[in-house]
Amino acid sequence: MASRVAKATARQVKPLLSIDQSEARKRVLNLYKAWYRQIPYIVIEYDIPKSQDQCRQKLREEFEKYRHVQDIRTIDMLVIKGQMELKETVEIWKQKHGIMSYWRDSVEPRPKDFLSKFLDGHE
Amino acid sequence: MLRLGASRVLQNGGGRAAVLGTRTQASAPEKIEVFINDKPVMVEPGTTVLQAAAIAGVEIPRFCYHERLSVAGNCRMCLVEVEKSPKPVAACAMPVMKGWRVKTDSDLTRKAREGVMEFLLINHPLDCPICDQGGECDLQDQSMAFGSDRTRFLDKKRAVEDKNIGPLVKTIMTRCIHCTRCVRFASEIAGVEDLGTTGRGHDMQIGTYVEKMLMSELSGNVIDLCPVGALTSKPYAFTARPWEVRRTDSIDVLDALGSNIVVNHRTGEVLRILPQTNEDINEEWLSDKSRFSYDGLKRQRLIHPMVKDSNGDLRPCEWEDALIVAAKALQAADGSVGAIAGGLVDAESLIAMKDMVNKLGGEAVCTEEIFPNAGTGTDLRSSYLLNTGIAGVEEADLALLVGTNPRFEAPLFNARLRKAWVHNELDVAMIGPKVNLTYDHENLGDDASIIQGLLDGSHPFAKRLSSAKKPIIVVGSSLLARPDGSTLHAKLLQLSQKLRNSCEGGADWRVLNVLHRVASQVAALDLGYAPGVASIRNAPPKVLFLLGADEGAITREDLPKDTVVIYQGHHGDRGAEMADIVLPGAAYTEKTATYVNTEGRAQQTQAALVPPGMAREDWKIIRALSQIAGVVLTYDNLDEIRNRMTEVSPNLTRYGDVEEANYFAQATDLAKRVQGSVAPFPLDVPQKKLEDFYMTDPITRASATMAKCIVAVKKEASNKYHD
Amino acid sequence: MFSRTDDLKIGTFVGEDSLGNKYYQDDNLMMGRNRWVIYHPRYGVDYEGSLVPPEWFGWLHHKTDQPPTKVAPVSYGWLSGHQENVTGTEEAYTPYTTTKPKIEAWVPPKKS
Repeated sequence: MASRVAKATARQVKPLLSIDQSEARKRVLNLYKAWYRQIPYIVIEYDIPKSQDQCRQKLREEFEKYRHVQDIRTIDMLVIKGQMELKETVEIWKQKHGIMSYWRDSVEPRPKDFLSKFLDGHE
Repeated sequence: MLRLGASRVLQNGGGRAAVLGTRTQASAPEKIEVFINDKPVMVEPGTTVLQAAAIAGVEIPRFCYHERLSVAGNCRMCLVEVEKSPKPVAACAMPVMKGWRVKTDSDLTRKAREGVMEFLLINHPLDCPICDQGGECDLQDQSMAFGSDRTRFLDKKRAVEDKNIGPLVKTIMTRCIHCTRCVRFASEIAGVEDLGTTGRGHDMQIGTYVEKMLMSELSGNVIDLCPVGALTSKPYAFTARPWEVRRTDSIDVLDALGSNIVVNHRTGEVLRILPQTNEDINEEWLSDKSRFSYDGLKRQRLIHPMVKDSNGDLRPCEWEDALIVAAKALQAADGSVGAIAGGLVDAESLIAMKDMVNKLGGEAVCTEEIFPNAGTGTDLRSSYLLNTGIAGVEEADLALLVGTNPRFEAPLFNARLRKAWVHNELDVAMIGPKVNLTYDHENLGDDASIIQGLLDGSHPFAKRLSSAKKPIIVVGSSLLARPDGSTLHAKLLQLSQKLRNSCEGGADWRVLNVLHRVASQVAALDLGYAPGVASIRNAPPKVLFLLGADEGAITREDLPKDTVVIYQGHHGDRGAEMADIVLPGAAYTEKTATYVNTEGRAQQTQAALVPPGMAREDWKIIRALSQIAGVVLTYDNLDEIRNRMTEVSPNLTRYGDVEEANYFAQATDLAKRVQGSVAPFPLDVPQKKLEDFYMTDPITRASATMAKCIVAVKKEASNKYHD
Repeated sequence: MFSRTDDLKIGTFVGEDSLGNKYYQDDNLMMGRNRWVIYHPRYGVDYEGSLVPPEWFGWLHHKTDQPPTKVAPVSYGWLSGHQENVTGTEEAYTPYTTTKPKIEAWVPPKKS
């Protein structure tokens, strides 16, 4: 009974792009490769103070951030967003700081404990 | 104001009695059936058509009718058609008869309303765009709903001269539609017979006849009552429109009643304060001090921490610097730490302060207001609460005021007493100086020994007390601040217990009522603060923490030279002047905080604004300071500190409820052990006249409006038209 | 001299102002380049336009062809003295708010 219900709901969910896990995986790898190949151009065209190695490391980091995601529709949506980002980067619709913001160098972490929050004026 | 006899109350029947909350009807008569728009309703005989319609869920438009005032029936807006009646009837004044069929939406009714509206608008100016009532005007709304869509008006409009009735209420008398709500309020509720009508018909005018001020502590309420823009607020004039302001429900802390208020604010400023209806506390009124002193929140504020430099001048600094200096002083004090809490402090900062001082090894946490400590002192809640409750006063038949002037210490409590005096035959007697309470009362003299006379029955008034069915004794906090306060308190406890056993009120009826003057007192006593600063004066600590203590109970002269005084509060007043370190806190409109009113009802204010400049919420300052001083308090947010409050005193977080206390018998037993004599000097109250009413705390002392009121009232003393 | 002006010009000396700046003219050059000022050496490379006093300003900018050496400038009692540009100095103007603050702070009374 329960499995039938599960099947019924599973049937109702419309796939975004991929119909199974392997296809989703393929899309993710394709996106990763596309970014990977673009990195030398990004470093030159945006004139960022980062090396290709650092960029590759950051790229891996950004993908690893969503390693835990299992839902195919979510993976697809993330792939679509990644493609949009890539498109913007390739076409130079971003500025230099747009690329640099991946490293979040200038972001100071918000204080967590009571006293620093108080002295910072958040409390 | 003529006092209504009990017979009149009975005659008026269910409707009014229900409104007044009195229980005069011993045997409820049979209900009668009426039909509102063909919908049957069962109502008690004597109910007016308007009330019956309200029960049926139909609202009839009205201007002059107000449920807390007597019925005037002169605006005619509530005309409705009643079947088989030749003329439309005024719903507010006409009691229903059996089987009446009232039509509130028939052609005749609508035509009647349209006609009345046309008459009202004949002489009403078309200045809505510049009128302060615009947007909350009954006439505006009702002319949109019921008025005619075209004009037949060709004549000239009449104009009426504006009256100057004081610095609070602005009059634009041309706009007046003569509903006489203000007149009825002044004479029935406020008890000042200043307003009245002169002339008839076209020449009718509302006013004081001769130029004089409306000398009342409740005068601001006529602004809310006025259905048009004839009476508006002077300080608020041309400030904002009602649809622009943000509204935050909150609690008033300028007296001990905890009236419910709505803070109207915009762009980080309090624009005005309006009452919110709470039948148990303030009904729908608000005292002038609470209503108009909001400009004090913008002046004399502490907006940055300050530390004394080598010259002895306070200099602004960063939080970190001030906290480190304060923490060093606390650590160096080695347990010799004391704290005094003022009148506007919330329960959160009270508990945080007490915890910190105790953790540092200090014991001297006390309140600025004095309360007797002998006998049971403050251990039993019943000996320091207004036990009857504010609304409970309406049931009483004899009130004895001892050393208090409720008119200025708690104006809305006085309004309740007056209401009971008018409608419920309450007799009032007073021990204390001769003051005007707005109602007749018997002054027994100001000798403190009268209390002893009442206790042993030798005073002639004792007989009346013992024959009363539901007596109450209201004790002022100024009486308890006397050196012989403990003795008097013990005697009053015994007297109340004696009356309680002998009266007909039963076990639930409480006689003893303590009327506090400041909002923080009950919460402080609940949390175990010691009342009065005697312990600090006798053994001055090395570090003294003034938590909003501005009344000058402790001065620099009481302390050794090397005592470090830390002041934490929101206004620069006496406390900040004597301080070495000043920590800026938040005022009551700027923090979500708990206050317990004089009847023991916990309520919370809501933060309408953020504290100005670098000021912070008070308990957070203490929490931060405790960490730097090395005695970390274990709560980081509001929920955690409230859990701690619940641990200490569970009633503090039961918002909206009165936590009753009923330990009179035990308290009396212990009170009998109190020895002491009654001091020979007479009982006195600090606030005797209207000018004493306006400035009693740091907020009102900073308020320019309150200063104007005092000037106006003093000037009015030379007005020969006042009696 | 050359390093200051980046230019080599030969002209007739017209006059000198109260600050010691010298004014030259060469009408063979095109309009706009034919009148110039050589600032007093004490200014070094810190010279700037506001060092020209008003009486010479008119001549230098072709408001008039009569230098103040020929037609003495009219002097009125209400004229204030020439002041050079104070931008970047201590006296520079900084805008300040003229609106009343919403919250008036408490000012502690001075003891000393």
